[in-house]
Amino acid sequence: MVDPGFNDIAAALTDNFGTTVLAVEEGNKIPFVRVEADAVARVARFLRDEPTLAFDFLMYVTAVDYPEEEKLTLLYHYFSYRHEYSLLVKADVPRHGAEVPTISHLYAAADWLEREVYDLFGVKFRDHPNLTRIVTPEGFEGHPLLKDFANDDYVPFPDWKPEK
Amino acid sequence: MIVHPVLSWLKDWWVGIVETYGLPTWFVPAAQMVVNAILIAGFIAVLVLFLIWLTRKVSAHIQQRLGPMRVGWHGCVQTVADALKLVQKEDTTPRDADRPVFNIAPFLAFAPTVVAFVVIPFGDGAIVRDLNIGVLFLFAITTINVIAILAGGWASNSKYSLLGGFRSAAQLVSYEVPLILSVLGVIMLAGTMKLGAIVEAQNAMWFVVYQPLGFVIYVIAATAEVNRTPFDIPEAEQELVSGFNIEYSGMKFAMFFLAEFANMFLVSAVAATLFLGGWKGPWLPGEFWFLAKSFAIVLLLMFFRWTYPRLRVDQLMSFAWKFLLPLAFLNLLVTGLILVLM
Amino acid sequence: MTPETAYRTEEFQVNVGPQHPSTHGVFRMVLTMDGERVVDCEPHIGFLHRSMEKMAENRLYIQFLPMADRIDYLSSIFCTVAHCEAVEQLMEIDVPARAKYLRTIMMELCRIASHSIFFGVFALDLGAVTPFLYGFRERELTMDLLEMTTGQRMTFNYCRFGGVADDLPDSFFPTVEKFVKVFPARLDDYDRILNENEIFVARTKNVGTVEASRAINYGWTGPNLRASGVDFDLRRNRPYEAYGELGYEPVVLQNGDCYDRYRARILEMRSSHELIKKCVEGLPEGPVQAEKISKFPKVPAGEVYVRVASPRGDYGLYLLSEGADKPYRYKLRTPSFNNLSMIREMLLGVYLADIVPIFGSLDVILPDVDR
Repeated sequence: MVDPGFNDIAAALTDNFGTTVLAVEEGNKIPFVRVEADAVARVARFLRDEPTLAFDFLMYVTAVDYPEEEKLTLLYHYFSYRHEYSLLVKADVPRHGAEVPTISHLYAAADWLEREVYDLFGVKFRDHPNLTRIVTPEGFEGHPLLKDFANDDYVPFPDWKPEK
Repeated sequence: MIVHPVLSWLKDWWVGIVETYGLPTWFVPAAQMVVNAILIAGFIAVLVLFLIWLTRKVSAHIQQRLGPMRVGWHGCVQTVADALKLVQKEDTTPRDADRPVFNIAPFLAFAPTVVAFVVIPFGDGAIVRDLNIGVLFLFAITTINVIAILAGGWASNSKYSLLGGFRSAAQLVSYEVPLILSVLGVIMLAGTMKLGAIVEAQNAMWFVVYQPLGFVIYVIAATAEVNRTPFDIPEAEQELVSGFNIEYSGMKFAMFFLAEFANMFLVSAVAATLFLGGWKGPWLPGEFWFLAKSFAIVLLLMFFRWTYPRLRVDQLMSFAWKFLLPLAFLNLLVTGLILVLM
Repeated sequence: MTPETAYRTEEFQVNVGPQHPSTHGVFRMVLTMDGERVVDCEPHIGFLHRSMEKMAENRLYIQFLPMADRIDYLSSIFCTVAHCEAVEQLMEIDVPARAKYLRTIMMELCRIASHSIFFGVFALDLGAVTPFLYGFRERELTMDLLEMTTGQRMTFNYCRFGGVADDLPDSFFPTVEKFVKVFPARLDDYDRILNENEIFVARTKNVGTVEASRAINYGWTGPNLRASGVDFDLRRNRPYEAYGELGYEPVVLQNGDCYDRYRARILEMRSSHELIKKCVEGLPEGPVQAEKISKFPKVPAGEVYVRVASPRGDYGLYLLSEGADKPYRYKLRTPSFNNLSMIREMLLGVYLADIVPIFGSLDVILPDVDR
């Protein structure tokens, strides 16, 4: 489902951000905008505050792992209740030790969503108020949704013994 | 009319024994006391077993269920089975509990309830001691329950039970005031605190007719006093899990449970005595009328229990102090004015 | 001594959950309390994390279909509908009209089942035990219908790529007729026992109020959002399955407190009932399964995002396929996760007793939060 206003949104973004918008792609089924990883927060602020766009709802934040290309693609999917259209923003980061600015001060929903991405993919979000693991247990090592994560030997609580 | 002849027959029998064997004369009142104590303890035990079964059945039928059906006819001995199970249960004490207080609290909760039954007139002459300060004694002795709950909550050394204990203390102390004020109207009308005499004073007309407001206040405050929904915040299952009795198990838990149900019957019996003419009634024996009236109030409390949600702690307090208390004073004032003018 | 120093109260911590009667599963909060007031709240989730997304990436599309049911087991059909829709959109399958209607009927039945549990549990949270049983009585009616159609009572596994597993049995129609007839009266019962109850209103009105902008910012969706006054429902604004033909007006309330969130669900049951009635009346004839769909499809490369209006909110599924027989990335955007993320902010400063209705009114379900 291609939103009718997509080209206008993409044009507004390229006008305002110039080269930080790397590409505007038709995509396969969902058109998207690819931006520089460091710009996700600035883009998010623009998307939220520009009245002609008014993307007030962050549907999800997630990542996709591409081990061959040594990259993770971060996905930010926005929706606007006022104009009823959505926008997918992608940003590529390196697979390990990536750091991107947080958008949790703009979208409160991003607080937990970014923690989840950190937990499952290991992407660090700069200035996040409480960047801790959220779904995996304390003391868990590794980031399960990376394609090369091997969980065969995983023991949930290695030191745990039944109480006498 | 049933109990009194039996007791006086027993008394005559003892007097005969004392005379025959030349025993000291204090033997007769001593034996009477023992029999009375056994009668009351037995009555409470049977009563509570029945009340628990009744609660289950009433709740089940309100909720379109059958309730216990397996043990006995319509599950009538289910509670006996449950009591046996509770007796067998391990009696656990939390490691950090204050042991002496923890162990005493359940009995402290149960004992006053039993003692309070001393002044309740079950029928014509079927009263253990018709004290001339009966009403005062009744409310003084039941107030000890607060200390038991607070002690149980405190000694368990658990935050949930402590919160339950605090809530309970705040609630019981608050509702004591409108409760006693509502009863004062009856005492003014009867001119005595003797429960037997109060029943006699209702020969012509029940006091509920003269004191409708007092009766309503009494029922509401009494519901709060025995921690029933909508005033069951001390044990609020969904917030405090079970409140003050969370750490108790086995027989000690059963004691709290016993006290709660006995208390429920006690306040109902007091309502029946003070407002509904006690054991007075046509044709049938007084004991029947007393039980019928008491159980009518018990059923009312049960209907509350299974219909209403629970109040919040601040709403509960403001309801007692801002609504019930002024209303109780108004009731007192009007009663006084009418008594003076007539 | 100033009044502030005259008495000093000490804050203390209370651990609520993961085993607690009103956390509706395994949710844990560490509350810092000042007497009966909440000073701070630290939510912990993940006790039920089954790594659904990872499992999806390691399984065939058809293998994950019954597992999708387990994501949100109280409204499981929505998860499978999203799964099938995503695959169908990528494979460009046209689903027959009858199958669309059947999916819609099952979804609405499931919505009623889910909301009746909410009704019961919410009342139970407030200490009223009886409505709980009433809620289950109505759930039983819908469960009967779902059971005779799908063969299951919780995890239905009814949808297939390109249609549904089976047509309706003959006994469905008289039963659904009976259901349609009795259900509104049962809802009137609900109104009488709770909506008009003084204590219930006092406990829920103006408790946990959330205004529209904050709800949107936290990513709230579904009845919770509509109770805050946002007039948006996927079934009307982004119609899928048969909703476009049925015409649907969402339930929108204004206050955004616990009472409105509760009312929104009760009213949604009424509108679901209307939808079922319309669906059964206008049920088209024809096959229930598109032809020539492989059971083990290789899904063409592409990415889709499917949104389904589950009883808890927008259930979203981002599916990225690289052309293999397994998904490359399977992101679940579950409504409960976002609805719950506001819990800390909502609980600050409330009474201990208010935690329960606030948490209950969100109608989160923990497998849906943790996945």
